[in-house]
Amino acid sequence: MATWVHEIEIPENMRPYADATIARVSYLWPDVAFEFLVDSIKATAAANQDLTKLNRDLRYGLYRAKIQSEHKELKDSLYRAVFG
Amino acid sequence: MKTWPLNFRNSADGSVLFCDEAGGFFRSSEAFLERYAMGNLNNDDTEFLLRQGHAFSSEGDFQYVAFASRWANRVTPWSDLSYVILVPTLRCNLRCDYCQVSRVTEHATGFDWSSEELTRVINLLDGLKTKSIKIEFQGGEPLLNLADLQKVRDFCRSRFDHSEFVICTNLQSVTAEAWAFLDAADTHISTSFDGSDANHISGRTKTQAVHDEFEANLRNAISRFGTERVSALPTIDVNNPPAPEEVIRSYVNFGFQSIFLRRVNFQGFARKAYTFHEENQLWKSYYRRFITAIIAYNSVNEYKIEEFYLAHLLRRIFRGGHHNHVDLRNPNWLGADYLVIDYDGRLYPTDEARMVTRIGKMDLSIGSLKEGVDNDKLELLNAEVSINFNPDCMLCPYQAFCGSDIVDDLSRYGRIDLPKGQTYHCRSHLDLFDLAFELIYSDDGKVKSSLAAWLGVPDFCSDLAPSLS
Repeated sequence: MATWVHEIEIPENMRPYADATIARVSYLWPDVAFEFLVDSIKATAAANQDLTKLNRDLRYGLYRAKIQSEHKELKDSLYRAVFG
Repeated sequence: MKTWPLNFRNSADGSVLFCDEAGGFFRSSEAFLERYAMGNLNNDDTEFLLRQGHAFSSEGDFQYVAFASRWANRVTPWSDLSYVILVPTLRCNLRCDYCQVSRVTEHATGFDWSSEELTRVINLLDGLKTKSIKIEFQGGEPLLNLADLQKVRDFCRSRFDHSEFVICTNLQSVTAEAWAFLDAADTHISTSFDGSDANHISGRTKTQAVHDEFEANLRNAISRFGTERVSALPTIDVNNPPAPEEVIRSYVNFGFQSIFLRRVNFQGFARKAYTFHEENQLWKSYYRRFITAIIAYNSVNEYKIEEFYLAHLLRRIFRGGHHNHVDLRNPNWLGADYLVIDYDGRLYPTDEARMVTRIGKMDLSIGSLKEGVDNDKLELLNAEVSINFNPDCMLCPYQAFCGSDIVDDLSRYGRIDLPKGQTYHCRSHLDLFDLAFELIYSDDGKVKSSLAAWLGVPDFCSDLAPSLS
């Protein structure tokens, strides 16, 4: 069976969010296996995938994971401010 | 400066929509997204974010408190029971193709409240803390059990400071006693009209003679009570929908200003008689044609009309505090301020839960008048009614305006833990919010005119649709 492989390089400041990103894109792309390889995410599948969409989902996934992580404390402060 | 977290979504025109969790939004670009995510905001960005309320200088300052206030106003507060749907009978004098619940024939026995159940209903109402009550009578056809309606209404008027009654009736056969009952100023009529005579006859009344009787009763109700006290909504079969223009013309002719477009409901027995695959795309296409037709109608008429649900979503987008429509709110507490009591005394968190139970899909009752509320079951259901911490919803730009519908999830998938993005509720609301934001950012003067009417503002000015280049 033909194997489709794609690797996307992850900038250093985004690497802490690679695991969270993989957790999310794995369910959005159930036919693709993702693996974090030090400075990149490797995607493997049995058939060709929509590369433009996959790249965008990975990039957005990294953005979202970073935004959520960086704002966690702020959201906690909001809940304290509203609910006491 | 600190920025509140922004969620984002690509728009059809290539721009990116950003929303914060208090409901503030703006449109910008991929370039801004990268600057924001990578922590490289420029001076124009920070000035814009501060001015628009998406950022603050220090915790506790004016901008921080204002954001917290807007955010809190998006949260549906827990409140005491004050809205009760009562089903005094399952008997009905019509046999609609898409009847949602298990109606029985007009003269069947054993499908009305017993005197013991009626006493228990009154006792439950008597024990409520609220001073203001809204009672909605559903069926079957509730006017077939007029005596019980009268007893409940008399009791509520004497027990509560304020009471309001909605009779969900097919207006098919209204006796002189029923007209006298409906005459009261605190009593409203909610009926169904499927948008065109042909569709209403096909789905409900079956013959022209029966249809004429319904139409005469609807006209009589409107002339006696006005559209302030009479409302109607169409049920649409997406495989045989009436032309949007015809629905609009018919509703306007009756004097209605608001049309709540509803498709045949999946929850009840209709799922056995109707096909629902591909229905989402068909419905999406029909719904968009309908909104386009309403906007065209409004552009040449003084008398502006709305599609209720889209107008409701737009109001939720622009203002917090719209928690009264129980189908869309967050958290959508079950068994709290709203309860359904069936003809047999069983309690349900929503009318859809009653439908799901009636077809034998699963038992979503939460107790009975006799045995009380099943708090363990209610607690289980209420564990998933907030979307604030759902892994899909917390990344969605529409979170501040949306809500959960676990009864729909249970009904369709038998579980509540499916990823939200794979649920019908999520997909259909993504489509609806996408449409709402398309309209908000439209340059078309006709669209702006309708938006102004739906939102109750003199003009829909560009400040209401902020953009950052």
